Amino acid sequence: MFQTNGKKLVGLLLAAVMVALWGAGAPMAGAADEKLDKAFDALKTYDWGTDRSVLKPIEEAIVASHKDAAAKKKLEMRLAEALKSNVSQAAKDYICRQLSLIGSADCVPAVAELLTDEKLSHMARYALERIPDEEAVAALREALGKTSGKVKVGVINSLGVRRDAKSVEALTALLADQDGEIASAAAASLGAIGTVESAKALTEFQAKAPEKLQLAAADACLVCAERLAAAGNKAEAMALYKLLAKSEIKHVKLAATRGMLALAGKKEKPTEKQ
Amino acid sequence: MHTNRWTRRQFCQKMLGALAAPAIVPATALGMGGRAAPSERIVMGTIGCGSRGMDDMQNFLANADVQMVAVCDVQASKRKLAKAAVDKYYGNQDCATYRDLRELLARPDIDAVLIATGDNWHTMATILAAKAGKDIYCEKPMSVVVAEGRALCTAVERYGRIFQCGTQRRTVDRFAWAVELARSGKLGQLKTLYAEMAPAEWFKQGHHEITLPPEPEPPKEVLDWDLWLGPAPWRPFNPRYVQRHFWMAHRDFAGGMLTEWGSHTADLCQWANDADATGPVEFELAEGTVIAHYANGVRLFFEPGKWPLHVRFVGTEGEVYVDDDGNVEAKPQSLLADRRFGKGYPQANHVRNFLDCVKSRKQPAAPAEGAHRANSACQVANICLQLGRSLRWDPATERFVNDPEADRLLSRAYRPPWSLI
Repeated sequence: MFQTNGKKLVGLLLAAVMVALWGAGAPMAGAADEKLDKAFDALKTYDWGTDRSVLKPIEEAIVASHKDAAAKKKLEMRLAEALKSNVSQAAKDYICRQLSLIGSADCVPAVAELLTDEKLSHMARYALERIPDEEAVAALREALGKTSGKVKVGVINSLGVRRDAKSVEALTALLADQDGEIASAAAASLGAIGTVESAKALTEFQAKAPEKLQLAAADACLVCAERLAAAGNKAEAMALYKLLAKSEIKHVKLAATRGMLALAGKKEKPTEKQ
Repeated sequence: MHTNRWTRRQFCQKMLGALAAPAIVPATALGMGGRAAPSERIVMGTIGCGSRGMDDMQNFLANADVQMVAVCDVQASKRKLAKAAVDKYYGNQDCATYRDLRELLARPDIDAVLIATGDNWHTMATILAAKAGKDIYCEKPMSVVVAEGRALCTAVERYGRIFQCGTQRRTVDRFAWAVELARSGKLGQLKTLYAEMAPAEWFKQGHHEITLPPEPEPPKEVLDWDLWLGPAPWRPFNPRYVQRHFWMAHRDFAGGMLTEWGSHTADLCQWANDADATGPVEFELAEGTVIAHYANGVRLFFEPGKWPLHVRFVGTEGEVYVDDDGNVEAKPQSLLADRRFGKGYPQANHVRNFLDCVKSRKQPAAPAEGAHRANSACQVANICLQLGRSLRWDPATERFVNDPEADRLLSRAYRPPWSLI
């Protein structure tokens, strides 16, 4: 009897404690939600020079969502919605920064919309480069054919950063682009991707690159050789180094020689005599 | 883009051969009058001519084997001042000026560059210089995010360039002496290191991402806003961005108080802990600051800063304190013996060390890897503060341990055409 009553008493006490905690916590959570709502409201009128502290609850909510997948997803979707709305460039810049921290495949369609926008393409890439999901890379790949000039250069650069082997064919075609910045960026990205296929494309490019792109071609080959070597493709890496060892550009020749020696496991590398 | 088919020295030799009987040859051109002969001179350009750049440049000019031939800045007023300083030094009007660093780097006659831009440009400018075959003296901190520092190290190594980071306390005798005490075991087993952050009053708004209201953008010839921003996200012009105390607290342009002084103080601590090629394994968030833990049990405290900049190393059998005002304290005092040290933190030795290494091709006092490891420790501490939690770090892979969310903050997308790859 006493035991039963004791259990009831403990149960009642626990319930009372929980009610008390809920009572204390609920207004706090409610206040946090209210602040967050206000911050999202503030995004609607946020512009360059607006007091940034009005958006702080969003950043705090992102930090707090570290181990709360549901809260994180809710924030991500809210940000993606806001990104699709008619807010300022500054607000979209801000949203992309936040999505770069917590974004997933789910927000990619909203972000990818901005890739072709000259003013916002960079911030879209800012988010997409950091989103690990394959959908982010696919969006960049798709934007390749829809962009031009500097915006295209940025997309090419991001594909290189993400080392997207599926882009090798498209990037190879861009080596012949009349815009030197595009051709140069394509070479750099092929180098960063560092597959046997990209090495083949760069070998051909190195042989015929116009003088103003010779250094870019050589640099891409050197990077490609390093990536190939790291992946165990030593023969292909050595072939690239041998090609560059014939360069008339002194520091490229030196870099190729250093690469060859590193590949051969030599610790001592040649240095340039001044 | 020019190609370096001839080195400057080859060019000089051929030209001297061709000029069999010059009518008038200035004594300085023959290496007299205190100047090195042309074939022994290191031809240089300066990129970034603000107050720090001008100070560094004067230190380079003071060396007889340096020939400063060009200056570059995105601001016309700074270009003009730098050119005037160089021309005054040489007594001529020969110093060339550039707004775009790529034009300066394309000159085949330039052997080495001094990079003293804003922090946001340090990595990109260094990588472009390495690709152009130049040796590099670059101001600290050498990067804004971890991936930049690694890319810089890789490029310098790839091209076999000499790189000296402007962490000049490595060549200031009392700091180097304190490090040697720690490394040689005279403090016993090293336990705790104290690296000071820059004073908080310089960073009243913290490490921020504040935007400013648009103001009319100046003509490119006056201030090239697009080039000033470089790889950082675009925003409309406001003159406050260009002020040092604003940009160095802004996440897009610098690492805030942690890297501003940490690139010096954490660098000395890492050096003392023989950690130039590695880094801490854990970063513990502790009351607004960060304590970094090394695999060997040593702890590094990032301390709130106050003038003068200082470091303190504590071991089981002694400790040492050194600061910028020349104060040196040691326990036991016998460690000091009757040593006397100077004051200040001059960079003359550091500049000379770089120039000597350009000639000898030996590693300078503050090479890329060590500078990167120290700066990246500060950058990871910044990530701790941003995410509000302690983090585990793998110095071998330079990634966080099982923390893909934190990994996202190690890199940032560059604004085209700039790229780290």
